[in-house]
Amino acid sequence: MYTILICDDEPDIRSALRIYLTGEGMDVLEAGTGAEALELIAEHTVHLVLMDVMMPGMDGMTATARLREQSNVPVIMITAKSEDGDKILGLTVGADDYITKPFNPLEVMARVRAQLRRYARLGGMTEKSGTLALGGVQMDDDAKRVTLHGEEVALTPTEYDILRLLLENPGKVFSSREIYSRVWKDVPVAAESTVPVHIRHLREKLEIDPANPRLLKVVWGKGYKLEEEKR
Amino acid sequence: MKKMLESRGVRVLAFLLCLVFAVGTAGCAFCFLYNYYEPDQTEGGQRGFLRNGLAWSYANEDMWSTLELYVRTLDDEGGPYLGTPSEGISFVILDPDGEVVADTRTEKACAVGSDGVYWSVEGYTARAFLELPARRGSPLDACVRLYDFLYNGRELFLPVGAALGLLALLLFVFLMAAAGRTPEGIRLTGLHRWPWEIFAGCLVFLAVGLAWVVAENSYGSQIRHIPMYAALYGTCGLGIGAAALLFCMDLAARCKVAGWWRNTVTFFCLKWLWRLVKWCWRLVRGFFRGLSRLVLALPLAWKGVLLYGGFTFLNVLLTLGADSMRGEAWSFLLVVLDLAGLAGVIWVTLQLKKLQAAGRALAAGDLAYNADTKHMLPALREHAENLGAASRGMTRAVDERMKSERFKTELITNVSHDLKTPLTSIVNYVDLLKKEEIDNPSAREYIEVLDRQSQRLKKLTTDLVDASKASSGALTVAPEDLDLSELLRQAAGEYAERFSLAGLECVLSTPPGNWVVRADGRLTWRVLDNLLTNTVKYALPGTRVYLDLLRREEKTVIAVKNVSREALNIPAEELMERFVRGDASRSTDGSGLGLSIARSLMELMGGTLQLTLDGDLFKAEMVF
Repeated sequence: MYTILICDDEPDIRSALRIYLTGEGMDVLEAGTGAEALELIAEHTVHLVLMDVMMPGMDGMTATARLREQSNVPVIMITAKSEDGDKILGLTVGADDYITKPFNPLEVMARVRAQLRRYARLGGMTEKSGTLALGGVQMDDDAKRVTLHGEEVALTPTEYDILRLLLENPGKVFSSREIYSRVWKDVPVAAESTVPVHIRHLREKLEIDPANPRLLKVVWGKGYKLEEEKR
Repeated sequence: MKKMLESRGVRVLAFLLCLVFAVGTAGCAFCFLYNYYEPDQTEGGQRGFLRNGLAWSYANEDMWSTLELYVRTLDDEGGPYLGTPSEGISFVILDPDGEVVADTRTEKACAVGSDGVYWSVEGYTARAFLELPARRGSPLDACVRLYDFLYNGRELFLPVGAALGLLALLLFVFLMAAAGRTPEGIRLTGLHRWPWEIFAGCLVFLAVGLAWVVAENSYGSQIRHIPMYAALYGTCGLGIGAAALLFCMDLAARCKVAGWWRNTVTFFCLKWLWRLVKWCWRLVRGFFRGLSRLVLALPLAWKGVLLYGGFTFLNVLLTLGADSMRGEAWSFLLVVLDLAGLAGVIWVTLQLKKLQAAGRALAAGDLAYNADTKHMLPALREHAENLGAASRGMTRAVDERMKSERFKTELITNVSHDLKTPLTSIVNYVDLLKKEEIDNPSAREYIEVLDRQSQRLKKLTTDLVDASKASSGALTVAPEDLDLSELLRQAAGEYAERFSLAGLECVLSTPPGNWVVRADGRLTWRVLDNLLTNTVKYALPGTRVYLDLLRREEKTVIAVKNVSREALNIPAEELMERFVRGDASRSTDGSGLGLSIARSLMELMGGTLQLTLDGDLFKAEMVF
């Protein structure tokens, strides 16, 4: 049983989120301002915080920064601004993830679950030899098994090979031609056009919102890379 | 004192007194200076008189004429004549041998001075004597009495003269002070208002006339007519003195009034002269001004013709001159003239070049360019300034436009941020409603509509912000080396499922070669994304979508071609305007901003987006 703190100045949004979260079997605390949120966190055991950025009084950024002084509870920012600068600022002050308004409730649930899994297993993760891991993705090369936040993901052999290539070189950008020649071990002639389709499938399996990937990123006009979003 | 200064009567009295005193002073000085005092002159009366120069002068007067007459009439019949000497004078005439030849003396005859009075002509000598005491009332008697007067008053003339002189001076000062004063203040009245030269001229004329009278009458025996001459001199002296005093008073009065020099003939003359000069100057200036205005008002072409005509005329003139005498000088002038003409042409050409540069800069959009108009011909300068004004006007318009665009962007951004919060609630509650178990099929249908429309609203708000940012340039562009063939492959991969869902077949053509351009990868993807979204939405199912990479005129082009499902009834250009959609597409979801955003983004990156419609064939080209 997890306890989630929803911090938003709009009661309608708070109650909508509460309905979804309680539907998932979670306890919900509600706060209207940043200050209230900090008080509730001090009094209760909270496993995750959903924090709105624009609030009267103390805003979400300040509240998150304060919260981080005493706790490493996962924080997901909810922001109406979709500019990159706001996202980066949010992640910098200590948020673990962000959702832009207007959000899709299913995406919120998925992100909440992902963060909870990660938080619950934090520190309990053991790395076996022949294991590759990055940002919640774990690859057991011996068993040919891939898990995301502990849940197994079913991949095709091609997808698996592509993922392994990217996991072995985190942060490196591979063009579809390179991926083709490294995975198919063949000279790319015209068939490399299939690589983006495979990547797309892979992203659909690993990402909560494939159009806005946080892990398997598209570098437009260059290629693809696997990279954990930097705090 | 003030009253005295201003009173006319007091002034007249002072004037007369001053005059009288001055003449008196002059008389005293005359008496004092007149040399009647021999060094040993210590007695008055007859004896004193005889030793005085006065007696000598009196005796001397007739002697010469008497002797001349006598000597000239020596041989005359009945001669020699002695004439009739003045009353009171007697003669003794001696011949060259010293014999007395004539003697008119009586027993009253007295010798004059210590040695007597002599005169000699051709050896004859005359000796004059005075018959004293004289008859009462005779001129000699008057002379004797004058001597008595002078002798008796000899101690008084100096002090009395000095006193009178002092009085006259005081009165003079008073008169000077009073001059021009009236009860109404210092003003020029009466004769003083005449122009100074005329007034002064009259006075000078009067004085000179009187002096002339004196000069004309000062001949003959004055000593014998002392009273008459005294009266004459006194009267003339008074007249001249009055004139001088009036002159001084007038001058004093005029000097007291500000701008005294205005009331002079000289000033009038100078004034008129100045006016004349000014008038002439104005006339000349007006003439030249009119001429220059006339020339300036001529159309530029006529000016050129005039200039060229003048130049040619001078040229012909000098050429003709070169044939005549002093041909070298004329030839030299001709060369100088032609060189000057050449320089002028070069000068004008250079200015035209400057203008051309300015015009070119303006045409190229360089609004900050300003032609240097310092040494330009007026006509060309006007042109250059017009160019400058045009560019300034354009700059202002562009600035205004940018400002309002930015303001609009800000407004749209803020409004859509505020829209997002309620929209989030709507999306969420619609989703919750969908999960409720509702038996009524109509209600479920309505919820479907709500869901669809809220999703569309969501897309619209996001697109709205993007569109305004893209068109106002508020987005940051980060150009990098971009492989367009890779980008096309990625895009095709991204859209593979959606194409097949829409029943479309994607034909990707990326010819081998270097397809790297400088562009922002994310923005380029946004453009391609928008184009492909449109394709999925509006392409006819069962047809092919062509993604081509090609090179045209040094530019790299991505072409997206598809067959439209519905006939498009509006021009391709208009499709890129905001909120414009083909009529048939109105009912489908989408904001109508996709193509507008795409075009703005391409322009932000320095490229263009071109749409062409050929029947149902829709072609979008991204030109880098």
